Amino acid sequence: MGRIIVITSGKGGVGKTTSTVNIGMALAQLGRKVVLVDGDYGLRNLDLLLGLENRVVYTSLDVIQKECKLEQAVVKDKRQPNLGMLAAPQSRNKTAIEAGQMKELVENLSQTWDYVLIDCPAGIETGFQNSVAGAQEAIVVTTPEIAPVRDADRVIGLLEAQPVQTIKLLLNRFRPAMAQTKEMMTIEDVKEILAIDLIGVVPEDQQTIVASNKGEPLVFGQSLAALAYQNIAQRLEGKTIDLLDLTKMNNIWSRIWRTLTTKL
Amino acid sequence: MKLLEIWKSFFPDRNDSRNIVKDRLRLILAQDRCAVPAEVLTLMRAEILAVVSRYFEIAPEGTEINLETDDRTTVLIANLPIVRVKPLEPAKEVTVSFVLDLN
Repeated sequence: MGRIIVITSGKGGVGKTTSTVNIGMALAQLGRKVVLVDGDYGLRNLDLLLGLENRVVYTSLDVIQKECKLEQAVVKDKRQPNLGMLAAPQSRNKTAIEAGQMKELVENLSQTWDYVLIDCPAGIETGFQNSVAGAQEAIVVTTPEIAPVRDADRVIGLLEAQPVQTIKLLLNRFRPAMAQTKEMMTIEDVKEILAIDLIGVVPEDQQTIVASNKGEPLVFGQSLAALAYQNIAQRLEGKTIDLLDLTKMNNIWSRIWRTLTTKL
Repeated sequence: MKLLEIWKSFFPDRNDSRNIVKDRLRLILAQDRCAVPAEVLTLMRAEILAVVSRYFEIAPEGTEINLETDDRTTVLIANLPIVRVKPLEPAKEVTVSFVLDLN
């Protein structure tokens, strides 16, 4: 039986889909069989970030309505044969399926895949309830800002009422320079406020946009964000890996910063 | 001692946005976690006002009844400006019956 993990956040636009794609691809690169499931009925995006939008034939709704077999609906990634994706229907809304059906679907997937990662839609309504239904673990994505942290807290509260066993925090779009000048919350601040364990910190990285433009996951490249996602995959595999020392980023500003903060 | 710390000791900045956002979040989350439904608060406000109005005439502008949370304790703060004391009426039975479960 594979692990079923939902990636959720409450707030939209904090990087759920980007995180799903990159954690999934990084796990696949480690040799695991990973299937990504788009839980966002009506607003699917997972296929776009993977660059697989032209290869979607069937969706999870077709599987549920028995229009096709489960294996037929999973799109295999040509670049990484360990990775598959199950798209959400684009034309239907979130009431098209029920939580029980989604639970059965992901549990069936977990028979043949090592990891089933569910990309949860924003919000805490039907789409969220459906995506969370079959999950044993949850990764809550937030950025170090007021609205995403508040929504993350709400989602953590809702997840605690579900049969989800472990809830981990992914701090995305972190800007170490701003945290150092006290213009942004630090990693410790967010951890203390939300009071759950951290699975990783991903720095703000322009490569994220480049990667989505091309439909190629970040982890194919060499960026700092890619490294952060690879570390998260290793931690999911049970390895102990220290957080990236983001203050050592090698650019002119961080060098000047280091000069300023060096002990005299 | 770091150069930046020396600089900051000359120009202390208590109101950096990091601390502002932390303070704001603490308050908001305490209210969220306490989770008193808005309709319960509205109902309670109306009942408190009804009881107090039997004895005092209250200025409606300036009236405030709110839950405030600080350091993990939640208190109900009511601010009811009194215009005058009403003459005592024969007491009527007032039944307040709702259960407020904060957990």
